[in-house]
Amino acid sequence: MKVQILNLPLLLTREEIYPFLNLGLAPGSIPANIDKLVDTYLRHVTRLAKPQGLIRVCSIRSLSPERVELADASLVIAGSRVVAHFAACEKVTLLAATLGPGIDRFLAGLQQTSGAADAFIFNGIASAAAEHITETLDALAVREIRRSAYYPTARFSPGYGGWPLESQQQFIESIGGEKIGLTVTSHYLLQPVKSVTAVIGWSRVPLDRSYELLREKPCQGTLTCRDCPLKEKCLSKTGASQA
Amino acid sequence: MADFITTLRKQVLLGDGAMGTMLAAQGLPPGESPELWMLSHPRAVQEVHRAYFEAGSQVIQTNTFGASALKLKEYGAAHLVEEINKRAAQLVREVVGDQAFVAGIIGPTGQFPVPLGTIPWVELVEVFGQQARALEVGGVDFIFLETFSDLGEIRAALFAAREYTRLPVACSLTYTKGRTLTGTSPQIAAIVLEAMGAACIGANCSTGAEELLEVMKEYRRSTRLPLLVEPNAGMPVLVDGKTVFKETPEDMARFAEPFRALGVNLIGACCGSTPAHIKAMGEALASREPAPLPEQDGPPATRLASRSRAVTIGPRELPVIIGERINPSARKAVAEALRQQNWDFIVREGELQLDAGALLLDLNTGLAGGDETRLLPEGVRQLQMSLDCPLVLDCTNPAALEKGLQEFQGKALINSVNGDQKSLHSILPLAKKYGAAVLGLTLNESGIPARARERLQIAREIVEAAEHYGLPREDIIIDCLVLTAATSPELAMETVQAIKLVKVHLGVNTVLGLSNVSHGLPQRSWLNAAFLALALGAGLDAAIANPLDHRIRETMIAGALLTGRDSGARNYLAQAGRQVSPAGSPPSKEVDVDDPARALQRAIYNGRQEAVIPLVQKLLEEKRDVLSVINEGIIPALETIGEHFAQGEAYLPQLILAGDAAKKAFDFLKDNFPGQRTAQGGTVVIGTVEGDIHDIGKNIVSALLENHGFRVLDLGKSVPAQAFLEAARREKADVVGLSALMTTTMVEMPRVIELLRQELPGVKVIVGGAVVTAEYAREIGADGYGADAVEAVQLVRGFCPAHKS
Repeated sequence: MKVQILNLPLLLTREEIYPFLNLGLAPGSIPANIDKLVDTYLRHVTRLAKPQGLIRVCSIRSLSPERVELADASLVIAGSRVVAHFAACEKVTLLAATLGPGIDRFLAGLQQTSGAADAFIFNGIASAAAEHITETLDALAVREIRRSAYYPTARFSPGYGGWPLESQQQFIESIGGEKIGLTVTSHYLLQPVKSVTAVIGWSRVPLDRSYELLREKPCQGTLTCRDCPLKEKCLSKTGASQA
Repeated sequence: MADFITTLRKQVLLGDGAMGTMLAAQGLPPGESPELWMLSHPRAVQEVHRAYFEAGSQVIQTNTFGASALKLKEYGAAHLVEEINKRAAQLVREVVGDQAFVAGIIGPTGQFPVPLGTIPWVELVEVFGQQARALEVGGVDFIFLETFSDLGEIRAALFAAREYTRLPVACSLTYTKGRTLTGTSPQIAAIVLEAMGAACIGANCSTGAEELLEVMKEYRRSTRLPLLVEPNAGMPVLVDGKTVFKETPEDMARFAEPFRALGVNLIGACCGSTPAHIKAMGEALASREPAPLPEQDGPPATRLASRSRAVTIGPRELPVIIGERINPSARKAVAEALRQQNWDFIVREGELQLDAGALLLDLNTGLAGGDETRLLPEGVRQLQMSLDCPLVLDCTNPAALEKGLQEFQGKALINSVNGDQKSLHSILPLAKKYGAAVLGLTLNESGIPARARERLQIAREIVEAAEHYGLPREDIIIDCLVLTAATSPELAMETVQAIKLVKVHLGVNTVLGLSNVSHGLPQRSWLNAAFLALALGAGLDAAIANPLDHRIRETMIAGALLTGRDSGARNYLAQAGRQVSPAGSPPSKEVDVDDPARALQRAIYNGRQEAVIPLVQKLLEEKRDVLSVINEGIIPALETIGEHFAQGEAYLPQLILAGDAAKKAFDFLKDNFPGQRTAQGGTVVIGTVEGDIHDIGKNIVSALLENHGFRVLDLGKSVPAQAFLEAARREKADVVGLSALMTTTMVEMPRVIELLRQELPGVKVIVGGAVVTAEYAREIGADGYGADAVEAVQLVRGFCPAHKS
């Protein structure tokens, strides 16, 4: 199997971080003490992260309304709300990204030694960083798909839209996750924690990726608010229009 | 026909538009390689060229975007590189004759060079070189590198096109929010690509013309080269199930004249555009006269860059510290780390220096008995993977230096050349070839001359030799060299004098390897800082020094202000503020406020942990009663911030910080008054349910409950149902709190609730977590649901009647 390994750049801006810290939901400028913590932990995250990504393109072997099976890979894409997007796809791009184990170790230490605010802020920045590198991989994959005259589907991950989280194991096998140190716990969670797996379909027909255009979305996530598991809480808090 | 670049400087040229969508209309089946298809459908491709030519395009692009060996390999056609590129060039030429320029297009390979990707830089150079050669053989007028998103990759393509052809090379990157995918700004692209010999630079594709206006403005501020722009016809959107680029020819045409007016020389279009777009853009141009270049304002500065950071050295910039600490001959620890290939140590040394204010890092891998041709490139790889500053390659071995320059995906500074002919003629060509600046030492085969005038003479020879090799004067920085004051104190002022002479007579920027002045003497920092001040007074622009020495740092900051380089004292004030406030800050004024309860409340509200304990002590003197301190000093602050948070007037981190400050107060009371009751009644057992390892949210709730005076037993993460039960029974809990982040783990919640109901029917269960909703909480029979930590506290308070507040 041909898997591309990338060391990803991490150029996180403060604007990308704020949504993960629930900053930006209250009016006015950020208080100085919080600003200082953000500054400190942004540097820690940048220093500790060893962002890496994997990209693999697979052909689709068979398609049914319930599942997408891939050629030369054990991964099965399932869940009615996910599979529907792959109806006109011929291939998929598998992505895996991780910030590496240094982040988890530091966070565990921070929870022992510092206040909850420190851990909360560090954790939020690390989440923003994971999102950031996933976006970079996404952009690479989408560029390739568009250049090959296909249309990219939205990005889907195990555990969302009815796609069982149990698939995480096959996902990691199918992309050779061990190359960047990715493993799965007995409850199907990724280790290191700040890691992402996702799949993008190569569709023959144009598909909605409209979240790429949205400016008013309250977070940096790539699901539309409609598909987001957090929409109920998030929208009631932010008052953002449903995207 | 006149040469392309000469024409471009005299006349704004109209480019062409999209190829892919036009070929699809000519019958290119989806999924097929447009370049391979061209071999069997040459007429169809020529139809597209002709359509653009007739619409007014003066620069027509070959259909070779994916015609590199790496891309063709995906279709099993790597052996066809020569044939396809040559043929593609000929097809355009047949259509346009000498009435338009033919652009030989090279696109990205989809592979990033090391360190981002795995393909070695030299291998990419060969791939691009092969394609560029074939395009030249086919007769293109220039090589056009387009739609690149990584500076390292386009740098390899530019290098290859310059090495393997005699054609001018245009470079175009694609931008989102003003940066390329891997973090390069237009300014950085201009610095690096201009130094590597690009003849024209710009941007294409991206999100559309409007965004590229800003990108092109930044390009114009950063270079005097001709510029090109080829925007998309907006971003693709879905209309009735079809992808549509929503910008019409009229929409695109609106931007043509603004691009010309800001100084763009080649204007075309990218994805989604058609000959109609090009025609409308040509008609919208008010004139074909290029906008005049801005007046050059004083001597140009030396500009260096990494992939994502630019540093400018010059008389109107703040003086720059080049971190000197990665040097095995000066530091044993570095030598040992290099010997053991302990790159973490080297990277850490780099970080420390950057944090202390260095903007550039000197990298010296000249280890006795070590192989510099291996260590230097590896050092460059390691440093640029973790740090984003430009590097100074401290190496005089040409073979090692060349490898290092290949690895560095930016514009480096070479340290160094000197007046020796051998040094000049081995190092300067490398600087030109790889687009680096050079640091010139005023010494030659006879050593370091004593007098300033003689050092100026060597500097002049270095500048002349560099210009002979085609380096611009701003890419030469002169080090006038200082000898140790231990043996020749009288010569220190000669160095200062030489700096003045070099600045006046040669107009180049200056640098100084500072620490040599104190070699062999005690209290080196005194001498280093004093000499730095003298040199800054003479006009020094950068110093290779130890930024961890605070005297050096402070002298730099103060010296910049006193030599008129720090306009409005902005840097001085910012640095002074940063350094004074945290250390030795005076005892908080709020201790002296009349009402200590109010002062304590304010300190907690603002999360000022350091102010809390003195205020608690003061309040205790007045109240003499722990519960009064809690109820009058701590709880009201927590309630106020909780209210503000609920109303959206305070941020979550503020809430947590206030909680941490309150905890400090509680802990102090607990430790000092062990006999007195500080907890306010109510015991909560809390944890994240089995299978879920996310606990940040649960920790916040747990901390906030504690801060409100509840007794909290935090069981941690991935807690089995049985453990919740046992803890609740043993601790006589009033409330059990369950947390889950994921839809897949929240299903564990009803199991825990069921068990608790059977065994401990009196206990209240509350649930929360990212995916949990009020509806779900009702469904599974929980007693309460908290949307955030404040709601959780309110819930618990309601369930613990003993709680007084």
